[in-house]
Amino acid sequence: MTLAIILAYLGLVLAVGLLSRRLSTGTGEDWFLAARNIGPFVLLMTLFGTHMTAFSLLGASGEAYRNGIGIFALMATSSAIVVPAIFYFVGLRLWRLGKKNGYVTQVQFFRDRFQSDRLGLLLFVVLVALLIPYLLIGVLGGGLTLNEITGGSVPQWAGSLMVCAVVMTYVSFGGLRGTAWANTLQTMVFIVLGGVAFFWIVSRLGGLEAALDRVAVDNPDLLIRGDRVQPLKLLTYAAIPMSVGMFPHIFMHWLTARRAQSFRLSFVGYPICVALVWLPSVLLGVIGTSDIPGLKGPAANSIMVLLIDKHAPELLAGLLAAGVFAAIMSSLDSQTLSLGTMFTQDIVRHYRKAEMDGATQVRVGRSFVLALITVTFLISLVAPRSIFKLGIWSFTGYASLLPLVVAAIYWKRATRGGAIASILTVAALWIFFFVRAWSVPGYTVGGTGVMPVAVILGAGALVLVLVSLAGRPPERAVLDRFF
Amino acid sequence: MTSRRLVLLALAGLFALHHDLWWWDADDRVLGLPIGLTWQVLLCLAVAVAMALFARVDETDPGEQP
Repeated sequence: MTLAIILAYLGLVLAVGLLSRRLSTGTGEDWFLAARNIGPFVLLMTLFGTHMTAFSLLGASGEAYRNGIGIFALMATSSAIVVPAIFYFVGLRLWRLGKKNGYVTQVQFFRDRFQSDRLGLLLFVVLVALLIPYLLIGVLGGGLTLNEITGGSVPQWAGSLMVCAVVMTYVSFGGLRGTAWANTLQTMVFIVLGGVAFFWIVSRLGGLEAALDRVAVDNPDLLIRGDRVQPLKLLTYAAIPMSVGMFPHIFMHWLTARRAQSFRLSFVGYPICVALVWLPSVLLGVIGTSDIPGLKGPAANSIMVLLIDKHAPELLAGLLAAGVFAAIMSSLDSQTLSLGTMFTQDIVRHYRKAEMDGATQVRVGRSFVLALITVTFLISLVAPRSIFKLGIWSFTGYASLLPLVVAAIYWKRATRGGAIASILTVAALWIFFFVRAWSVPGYTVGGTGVMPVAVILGAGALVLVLVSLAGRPPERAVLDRFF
Repeated sequence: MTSRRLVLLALAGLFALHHDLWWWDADDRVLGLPIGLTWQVLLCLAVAVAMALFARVDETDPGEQP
């Protein structure tokens, strides 16, 4: 039954992604950017779905199981405040510049703003290197989830293969339009199904009040912040959602907006969607400590699946699995497409001597999407589970690059030298902290509660400012195109 | 005051309120939830209200608000 529901869901996503092709004009701009014609609702759903991963459903409940309600403040409210701010101050402005100057990728924008091919190539390498582990986590997560939900009857590789095959098909055929439509469906599915799972389980436990009363007796410290979330960690963790400003897949979706007004719903709707998804997940994690006690370490991430298994009928288990798949695929599709777009535009098209027509660009883009998903799937067969720890490091890297984009669009004095020095500083410090923190769970700088991202971001910003001020200002003619 | 400054001020204020040290260890329930959780959910909704009120978008020149 569970498997049948998941297969039906995957078929539905595929159909929506492929149907969108009917609206395609067949041009390169349509495949890569949905002809810059996405309206407010689809833009909100696709931005939210792309940004939220399966972590919001399964990981959040696991974190709440271990650390209590403080996880909501740490991870959800931080995003609810920081992300709309970045959409407004960064996304909207990049949309305008993208439309005016015809950009398709971030690298094109930075190359043009700082008039440097070398900077473009450096940034390409960094952005791709940070995105590939993220892709791998999605593919592995799909396989593991299906394996758990079906009680081990579907092997991990089969679940990963299903996710890859569906995403590869609708991304290749539908391009960004197909991705946006499929994401809209998937985002609605995981918001609704997370809520349904919550209400079902809580009603089986005698209502929310009774369930929380049990937690108050068994684990009262999970209902307060206490020592489980340090104030300094809460402060510096807010730097993590700043990664949204440098994600290649989010940049790509910003450029698809039909008009500036299309962004308004995303500014307002994003924090509401965050609350709708995270509140049920966090509460289920906390309530789960009384209902299914004793889960240690990563095993706690299965708490939602275990609660469903214990309290819900098979139909709901299947629907929840569909919701988790929705959350995984709505990120995986955009990440894959953005990588395919970057390889096509920033490498093949940029370094090829002859001009490429739209149809050739789409063919090359499709080939890269196929190749990337195939390679990711093959790596997922041998990758260790510790790869999931890379997720936070991917966010740390992108967040630390935020000063680069802020300076590029708001500070005329920012120079090529400053930008390159900032990227190199971020890369060096990222490697330094990554090596130090890899074997230390919950690592903070010197055990102070300060997240490494706050230090790397600050250092990157400082170097950018100092090196820029030490160099010659950019030419007036270039600046006039950006300010 | 410009739209951008209003958004910046509102979000900075909400960010400060996000660090609710004053009921860090309070275990009362408000609206059926632990007070620390209720507060954070209300902050998410307050961000939506602030963006609806202050984030104006100029169609002709987005990003360059009057």
